[in-house]
Order: sequence, then structure tokens, then C-alpha cells
Amino acid sequence: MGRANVDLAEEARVILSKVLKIGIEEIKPESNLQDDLGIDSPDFWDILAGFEKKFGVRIKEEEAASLTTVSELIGTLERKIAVKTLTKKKK
Amino acid sequence: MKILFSIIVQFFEALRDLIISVLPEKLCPKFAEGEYAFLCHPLDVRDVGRKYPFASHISERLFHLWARFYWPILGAQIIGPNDKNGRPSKGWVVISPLPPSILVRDPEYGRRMIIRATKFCEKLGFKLVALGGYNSIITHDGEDLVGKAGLAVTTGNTYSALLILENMKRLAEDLHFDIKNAKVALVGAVGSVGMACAQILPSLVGELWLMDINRRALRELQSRLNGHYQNVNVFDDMNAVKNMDIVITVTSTPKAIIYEEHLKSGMILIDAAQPKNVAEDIARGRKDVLVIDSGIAKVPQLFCEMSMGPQKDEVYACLGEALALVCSGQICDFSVGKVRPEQVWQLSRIVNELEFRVANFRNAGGFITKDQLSDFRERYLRNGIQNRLNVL
Repeated sequence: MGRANVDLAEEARVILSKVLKIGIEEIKPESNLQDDLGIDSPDFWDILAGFEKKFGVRIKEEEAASLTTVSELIGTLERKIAVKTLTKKKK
Repeated sequence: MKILFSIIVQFFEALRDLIISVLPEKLCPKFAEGEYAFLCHPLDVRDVGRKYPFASHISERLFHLWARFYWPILGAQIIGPNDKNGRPSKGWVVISPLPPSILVRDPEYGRRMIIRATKFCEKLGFKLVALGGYNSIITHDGEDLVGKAGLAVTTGNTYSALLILENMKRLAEDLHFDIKNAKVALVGAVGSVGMACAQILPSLVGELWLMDINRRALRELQSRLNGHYQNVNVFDDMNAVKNMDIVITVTSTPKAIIYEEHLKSGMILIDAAQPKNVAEDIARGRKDVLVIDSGIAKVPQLFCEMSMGPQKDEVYACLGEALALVCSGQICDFSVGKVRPEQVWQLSRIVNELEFRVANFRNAGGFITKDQLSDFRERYLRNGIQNRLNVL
């Protein structure tokens, strides 16, 4: 479970790195999305679309707007994937 | 019979557009005469009804399905204004079917479709493509298109910036106040339009306060400007706009960001965003603040079968800029990426020569009359926080 989370976080950072056109080493868990990474609305659209294509879950723009750090963003992603997996199992 | 005829015509037009879309350029007949294409998109399913009336009856879901797979549409010819030789300029409206809801949801797909639409324009022989609405935002203000299609690209962002300045100047004239002492907020300061305004406004106003969601770029901008000006500051709490005399909104956020709680009596709001950043009920309901919708120009000798602006002789900045470039013979990549102040002044000279004017003041409540301006000035501007503005 722990390893899966690490892989997910890494893949999420790859997406962020590709969209923002910065090195993956600059994307740290504590990095502030606006202050450090300079993410604006169009960047968010690409990031959220990238997450949806890769992980099959959609974080709504309004939800993403309230997140401040990379770890919060990845945490939200993890939560949505977990809920989706649980919902699938129940079915 | 008329409806049947209309359907048959639309069928053949759709076939024509499909042929243009699939044929290689060398084999493609030149169906459209003109120098430029204005590449726009429908806002929603009701907007499609302007070109295809039957679309007004289909569901949003079916519309999205259609939009994802349909090809670019040759919309309507635009004739005028006259170029520098006195001949009417000619161009076409080309429609890329994806609405903002799909462009925002899947920007990568959106970009591919916009590139495809740009190549469609190239096949028709156009020399310049002007990106309207979200077609510009999704392609990073046109940067993603440069080098991908054999025609020049522009976004209208320079004219958007110029119209903000012209609206401010006209407001100062009509309301008889002095902007040299004004406290001005610019929300969306590091966007393409905002960046140009941020570099020009410090020399025109008393204090300039900048805000943007991209705080890293905002700090860099402030640092650069502070090397030349002492009156530039930043803020990150929207509530701070309450202390401003004039608030300019120019973000790419597709919704309102200024609400009742951000207002103070006597405030002037210039909203240059599309969709609007100032909540519509403010314009309709608050008489003690003045909301001006920016981004619209009055253009002489214009004809188009499709409505290109709120009134017959009006266009939005994205098309207005293309018209100015074509009429002045400057068909080249123009507003791509961030707008520079020198581009604003260059375009200002061009539009003045062509007699383009800033459109009459209006907002969600309709046109603003001279009486309404006078009333605002006498009742609110004088007595508000605008003593700084030396209201006469």
C-alpha cells in the first residue's frame, strides 16, 4: 500500500513537472502551488486533466482552488482514487 | 419549404467544410476569399444555434458529443473596414466546435483541435488567424501555434490592454477626475493582458496594486517594476480591493471573483475578462459603484452576417486587433504570449489612423447614459474615497 502511494506521488509529480515545464526536483511536498510553483488557472486545467487521464479520477476545479501545497494536491488525489477503488469493490 | 432549403444548404456547407478538413492543401479548392480568419468557438449549445438553428433543440450531452468529433466550420464572411488603400478588407469567421466546457476539461485535446482548425484556415489561403476566447487561453496565448501552421497568429490581447487604458482615459474625461492620484488595483496582473497594463499604469496612476493567483510570477513582476517605479505594490487578499478607487479585472478565471463584499461606494470597476469577473448583480443592483465592461471597440464600415459584437458596428478586441493588422498591412505574428507595452503603443497608432474607437460604456445592466454617469459622479464619486481624484 505504502509503495503504491509513493509511485502515485511520483507519477503525479511527473505530470506537474510536464505541465509547469520545470524539473521534478523543484516539486517538493511542501512546495506552495502559487508561491513556489506559480500555478495559474490554465495550468490547473492541464494538471487536473492529466490526473484524470492517468488515474481515472477527476478533482474538480473548485476543490483544487482550495489546496495550497503539492502534498495537499496529491493527498486529495489519493483520497479520490481510494474512494473509487472502494466503490468498485462494493459493486 | 424555406426550412427544407435551409437544411439542404447547411448540409452542403457541412460537406464543404469536411472536404476542406480532409483534403491536402494543394488539392483544396479556395472556397473563401479573404486575408484572415477569426477562429472562435461556441459558448454552449445555444450558441451553435446561431449557425445551425436545429442545434437549439439538442441536449447539452449530444452537443458535447457532436463538438468532440465535428470538423471546423466556415462560418460567415466579414467585410470591412477599408484598408489603407481604401479597399474593404475581407476575412472569415471560422468556428472550432469545442466549447469552453470541453477545452477546460481536456486542454490537450482542445489544443490538437485548435491546431487542426488553424491548418483548416491555412488550407483556405488565409494569411492570419486571430484566436478568439478560450482558443487563445488554451494555446498559452497563441504560443502553442507558432510554427505549427503556415500563417501568422494573433490573440487580441494587445487590443484588450489598449481598450482598458482607453476606457480609463475616457472615464476620467467624462467624470472629470484626475487618475494621477488614483489607487488602482489590477487583478490578473501577470496574464498576457495584465502584464502590459502592469508595466504602463505605474506612470499614469498614483498607486498600483497588483494581484494574481500566480504569486511567484507576481513577486518577480513587482521586483522588476520596483526597479523603475516606487508606487507598485502587491496584495493577495481580495478584500483589499475595498480600499481602491479603480479596480481592473483581467483574469482567465471563467467566473466572477468580485462580489458585494469587495465593494465600496464610489468605486469604479473595469471588467476586461470574458466571461466577466465582476458579478452581474453588482452592475444591475448597485448604483453607487460604476461597472464598465471593457474589451469592445467600435469599428467603421463593418459587415458580417453573424453578430461579432454586442452591436452591429462593434467587435471584441480579439477580432478588432486582426482587423487593425490587416487594414494596416501588418500581417505577422503579433499578440503571442505576454503583451509588451510597445505593442500597445504601436497598435494605438494603427487603430487611431483607422478611426477605431472604444465602444460606449455598458455593463450587464445595459448602456450607461450620460445622466447615469453624472448621477454617479455627483452622488458617489465626490463623496467617496475619491478625494484623491480631485473631482471637479
